[in-house]
Amino acid sequence: MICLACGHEETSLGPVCAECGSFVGYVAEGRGYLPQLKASSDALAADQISVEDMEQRMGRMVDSLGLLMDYIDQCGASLVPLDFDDVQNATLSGYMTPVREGLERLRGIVSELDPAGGWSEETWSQMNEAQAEVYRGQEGLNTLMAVLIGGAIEQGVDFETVFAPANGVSESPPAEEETPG
Amino acid sequence: MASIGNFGFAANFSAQFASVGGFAPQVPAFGQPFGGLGGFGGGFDGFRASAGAFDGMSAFGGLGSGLANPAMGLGSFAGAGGNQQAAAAFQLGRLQGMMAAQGMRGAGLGGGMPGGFGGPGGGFGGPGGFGGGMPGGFGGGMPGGFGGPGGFGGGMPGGFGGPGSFGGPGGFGGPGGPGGIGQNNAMGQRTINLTQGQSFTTPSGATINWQGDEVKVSEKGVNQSVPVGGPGGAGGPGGMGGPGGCHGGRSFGCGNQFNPCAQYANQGFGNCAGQAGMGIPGAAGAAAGLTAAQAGPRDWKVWGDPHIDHPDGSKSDFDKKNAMFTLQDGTQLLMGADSPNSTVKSVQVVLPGGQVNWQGIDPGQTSVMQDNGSGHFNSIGTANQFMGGGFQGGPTFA
Repeated sequence: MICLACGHEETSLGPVCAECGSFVGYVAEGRGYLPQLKASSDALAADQISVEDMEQRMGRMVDSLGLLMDYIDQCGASLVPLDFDDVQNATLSGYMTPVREGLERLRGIVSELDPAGGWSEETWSQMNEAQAEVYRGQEGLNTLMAVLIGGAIEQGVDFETVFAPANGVSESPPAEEETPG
Repeated sequence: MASIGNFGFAANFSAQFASVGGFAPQVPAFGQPFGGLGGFGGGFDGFRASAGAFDGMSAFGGLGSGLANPAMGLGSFAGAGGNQQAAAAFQLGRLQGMMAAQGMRGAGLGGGMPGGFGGPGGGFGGPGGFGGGMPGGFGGGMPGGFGGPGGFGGGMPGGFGGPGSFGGPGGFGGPGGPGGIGQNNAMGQRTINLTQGQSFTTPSGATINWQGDEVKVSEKGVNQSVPVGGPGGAGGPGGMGGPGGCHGGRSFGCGNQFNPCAQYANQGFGNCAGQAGMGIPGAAGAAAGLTAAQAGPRDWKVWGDPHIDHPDGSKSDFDKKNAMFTLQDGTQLLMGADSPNSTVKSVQVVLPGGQVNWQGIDPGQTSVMQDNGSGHFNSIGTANQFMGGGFQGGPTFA
């Protein structure tokens, strides 16, 4: 999760950025950057951050959303060589489209926000709806994935074999974590 | 994209899928993935479904408007080859994983399907879904990225942790799936409001027994038959080591957190603390879903107005109206009283993966109790102090 406050990509599931300590939200919650935006908005209202800070954070959010959209486009392009027929390709893109649309809608809203804050409830509602659209789209993708994986397994694809460690690579236990002081 | 800094979930959708050669069309029986989708008349042949057939489902709710419902086309994959489908799943899973890593996916809900499928992508495998009534989900994570946490086994007694994901070359091994949740929460409920006179046993065997003004807690220890997640993913060569899994009770590298591991402990959520450097053969993500630090059985209780009889035999009193304890298995216990000097009035049991219901509870009057291994719970602050990130303000709980 990109920390909107500092740009660090937080690899834990949150809720705070290990780099700067800012709130990044719970990654598994599925609300994207909105919890961060809300926290930033609150911080701005409390004079804990400046308008310039807010602008930078919003910029990071817009950029990140755009990047995710790019990935969707790349993913779509990567499916083309797999030689699915027209119906299958339409289904694949049909499941991806809502996600992209949700991201695009959210990015559009955030792009138009006034960094000085004071956003209306309606604006928040719109952002939440867009985020929910992304989330729902992901749920659809889950189903699509289940179909594809199930179909592959039905036809004899053994994922455990496919993704078994390469020869000579042994599984070793995870490194010991250091207890933070 | 300079402003983003190390926005490092670089995608490579052109990555080769070595085992996906020869997309020979085959006609599979195509029944298995829908075994649990009972509501659709035993089939999911999209060609026979009406355009709005699935609008009522959350998973499809957003798909019906403005688009031909893509669920209609799902049946068409019956004509695709196994490797072809696997390759598509691989690419989509990579995408989903990236989305998940940016908090865009959530944990996923498997609904009635046999476990959720984590994103089997090469990017970041997404968190697995919640298996609705079926044993564990599948952890995601195929070559080249984060393996996703496994799904949540729900409903079935004991459940099964989802198999860990397999990190491939250049990727993170995925954390393993969580242990399944036993019959106590067959409905998937992870937050239980205990009432006086009741007892509750967590999936790992810890018992919380509230009788009169006494809440007794008996824990089995974490080196016993705690239903940990499945094995974590194997990190591939040249990649980053797999997340080591969440060791219960440890914060995610930030000392001021509200014990997030209590929520994620025992679920295979890794914190990437164990990751090796790039270019180093990836450490396996095995042992993801490890339980909290090794510890033996222990008994302790809260009683009276309220006193705490700690596991080590020492005693203390509540310093706030409420106190939140974290058990060895990651379960959280939130005990509430009308004042620091009155008897316990509410006991909330929050299983790993559940969320505390803060309604009617003031986080500012809730001491977060931490046992650092000594057998004595110490207050490390109030809950509101841990819920605002760097802004110190704390969230609202409206």
